[in-house]
Amino acid sequence: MYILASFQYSLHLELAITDLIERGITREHLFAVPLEVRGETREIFDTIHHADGVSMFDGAAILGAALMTLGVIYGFVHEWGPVIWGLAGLVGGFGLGFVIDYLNGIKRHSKKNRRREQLSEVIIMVKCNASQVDLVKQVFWGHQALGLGVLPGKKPA
Amino acid sequence: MAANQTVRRPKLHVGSYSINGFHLRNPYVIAWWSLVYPGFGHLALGSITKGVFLFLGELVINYMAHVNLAILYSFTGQCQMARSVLDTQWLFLYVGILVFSIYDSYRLAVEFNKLSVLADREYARITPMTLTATSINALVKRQPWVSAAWSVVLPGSGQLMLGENIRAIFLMVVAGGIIVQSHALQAIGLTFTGEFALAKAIIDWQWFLNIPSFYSFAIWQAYVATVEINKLFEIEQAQHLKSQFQSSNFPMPFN
Repeated sequence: MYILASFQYSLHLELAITDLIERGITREHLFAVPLEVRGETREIFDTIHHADGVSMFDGAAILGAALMTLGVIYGFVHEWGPVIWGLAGLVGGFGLGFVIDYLNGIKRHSKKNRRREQLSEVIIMVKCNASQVDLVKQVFWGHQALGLGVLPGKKPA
Repeated sequence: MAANQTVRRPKLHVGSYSINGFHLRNPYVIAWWSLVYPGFGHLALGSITKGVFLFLGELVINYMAHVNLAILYSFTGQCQMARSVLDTQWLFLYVGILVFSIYDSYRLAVEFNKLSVLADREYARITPMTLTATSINALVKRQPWVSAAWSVVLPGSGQLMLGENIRAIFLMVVAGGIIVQSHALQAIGLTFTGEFALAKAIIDWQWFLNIPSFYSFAIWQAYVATVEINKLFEIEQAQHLKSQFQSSNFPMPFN
């Protein structure tokens, strides 16, 4: 019998694999295929002079720093003082920068970038006896497998 | 790649007191942080010694030349005050350190991007953790907004959570100094009880103007570092799985 399961990269994945080995699955009966995630392929020549996926926060931080400084400065002369105007600048700048980056991101990646949290990143295949199927399934589900399938192997001759 | 082969272009070092490595960066963003505060660009790049040196240099020169006060007066239309408060001798040093920081960090970001790509192509094995007599450091996945949020509460604490101790200690110590010198906490207390005039009066403006840039940088850097550490965790785990669990002896189905 074969069991295939998908996981995210995590310490849970390593715990699941080592758990199976401790319970008697041979190391050579485990096969792993780390997937390349959509939208994460390396476009080296396009991106060498640019950031790689953290831009959602760059614009926010840049505008946050700029507007907070202006808020503190003009708080010097305006009534509520620098603390409130500074914090308003920080929050406003972060929000504005984030919205700008988000809209740019939507334009650039439209359908390409789904939310990463829900993606499978590794496929694990296990060869085991029919009697071990429940054990393997239990270990995988207990370690945050995203999905799982059982494949009947060749009938013994 | 064989385990005993030496690594020519490493990607990452998980050290006892720091996690440092290469990842692709936008050089304009790095240059922006150097404009905000000389040294920040280098700190973001991982050139920590350079960054701390430039930062402390800027702190002293800014203080001696009263640059922050001049900025404050200029932006509020009191140009005569700005002119009289500036110390021109120190001001020229300020120009030097500012322009050098921007230039050098931009150049380094471009070079480090090349080194980062070369490191990727070498496919050298990453060592995911360090255990010594006094410290434990390991690649672990975390939520980026959590470390960013900690650096909102206290600049540097997000970095401390990540195991980037050297950057964290620097940020925390300097943040403490700036907060105390500027009387920011007293001003916050007075602001929240509605005594705005007293809050303005108690603030030391030369020091207080450091706070916006300092907080923003600490928050941004904690967020970016978390994202990159998460990616490196995935790269290392994929390396491990490929080397251990792709045996040619695996009995493939339908063979």
